[in-house]
Amino acid sequence: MNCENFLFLIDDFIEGELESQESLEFSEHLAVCKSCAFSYEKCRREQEVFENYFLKAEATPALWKNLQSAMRNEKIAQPSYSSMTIAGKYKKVFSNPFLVFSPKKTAFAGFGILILSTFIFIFTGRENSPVEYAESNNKIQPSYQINEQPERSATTSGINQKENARINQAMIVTEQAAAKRLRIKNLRRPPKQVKALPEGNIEIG
Amino acid sequence: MNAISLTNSKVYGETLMKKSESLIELARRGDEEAFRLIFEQHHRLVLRFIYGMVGNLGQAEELTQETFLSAYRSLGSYLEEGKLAPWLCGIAKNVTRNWTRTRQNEIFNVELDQQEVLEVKDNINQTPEGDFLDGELNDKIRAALLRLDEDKQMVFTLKILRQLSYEEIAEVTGSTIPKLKTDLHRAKIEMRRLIRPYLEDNYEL
Repeated sequence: MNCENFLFLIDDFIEGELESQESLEFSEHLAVCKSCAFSYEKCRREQEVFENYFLKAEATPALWKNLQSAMRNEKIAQPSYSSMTIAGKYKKVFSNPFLVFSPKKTAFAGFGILILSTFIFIFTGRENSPVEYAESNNKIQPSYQINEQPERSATTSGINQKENARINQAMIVTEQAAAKRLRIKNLRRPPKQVKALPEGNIEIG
Repeated sequence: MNAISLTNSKVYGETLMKKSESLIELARRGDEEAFRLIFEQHHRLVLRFIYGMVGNLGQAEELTQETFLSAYRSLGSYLEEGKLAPWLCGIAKNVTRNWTRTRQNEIFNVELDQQEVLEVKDNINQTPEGDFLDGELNDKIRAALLRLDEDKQMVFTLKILRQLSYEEIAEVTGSTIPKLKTDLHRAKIEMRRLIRPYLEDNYEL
């Protein structure tokens, strides 16, 4: 490193901004060049003077007390949810103490999910299967009876045809039941009032 | 404060200092102790930064209080975790700028080369910094700092305080990093030009 480079890098060296290699070269030049060492010392002392100017500035104990009393009259504005970043929203949701993981809460949640899924299975499973619905109302022959009494002459395709026919029948039974429920529902509705308008048109109310 | 509560407070503080994020979260929920710890960690930086710009320790303390009060009010808008120091310095910059605007009619007549170093309507030497060991040198540095424009004042002060990186200082000032480096270089040249004769005469530098 020559003297010109050295003088150019003095401030960076004092502020610790130099890379390790540059810093090593700077130190080597500092050790051998008296003129540069004098310049460096001058800059270092000036830096110290500036630092001391700021470091001597200290707050009085009254600062916190005054701030504390002023804070008691203030209200913290909470951030709006829409202004948050995705990470901020995630953090806000999961910083809720209720959502913090604990074995007790997990067991409670698991039990709740189990109960709920049992109810869903019981009350919705039958409605979703036309074959089961038809079997339970004795509208079609149950599948176990088909398996127990196979016809001796029936081939595999014959059994499939019977099974398809059974499913078709079940669909028809379910549709008929749904149509019947709709008819009953319509019967329970009050009849629509029909009012004649002066021009001869009718208005349905 | 008795010994037990002091110990409790210390333990509480050590626990909380592990993560400034949790401090902010607690302060946001209105925890005064958490905000006190944030204040303890950062008030010196804020005070010295403002002191560099206004040159009056009493005034700097008032503006520091205003800065922290403003930060307390807007804790909800603080979203970038881990960048508390530049955020607070940004608030301090705005608070100081507003104060400077309202004081435009005050006479700040800085005459470094004359016998009367500083003429300010408020008698600045009555503030605690007048008790410093070398008041005259402080007056010279203060006057030299007040001669710099706002951008150079900020970058010079923050770089001397050595707590923020170039990226963080750029966030505070709103400048680009190349501009910051240019401002810092010019500010140093200007400060040395004004201070060096005095140091050479009185401190054999």
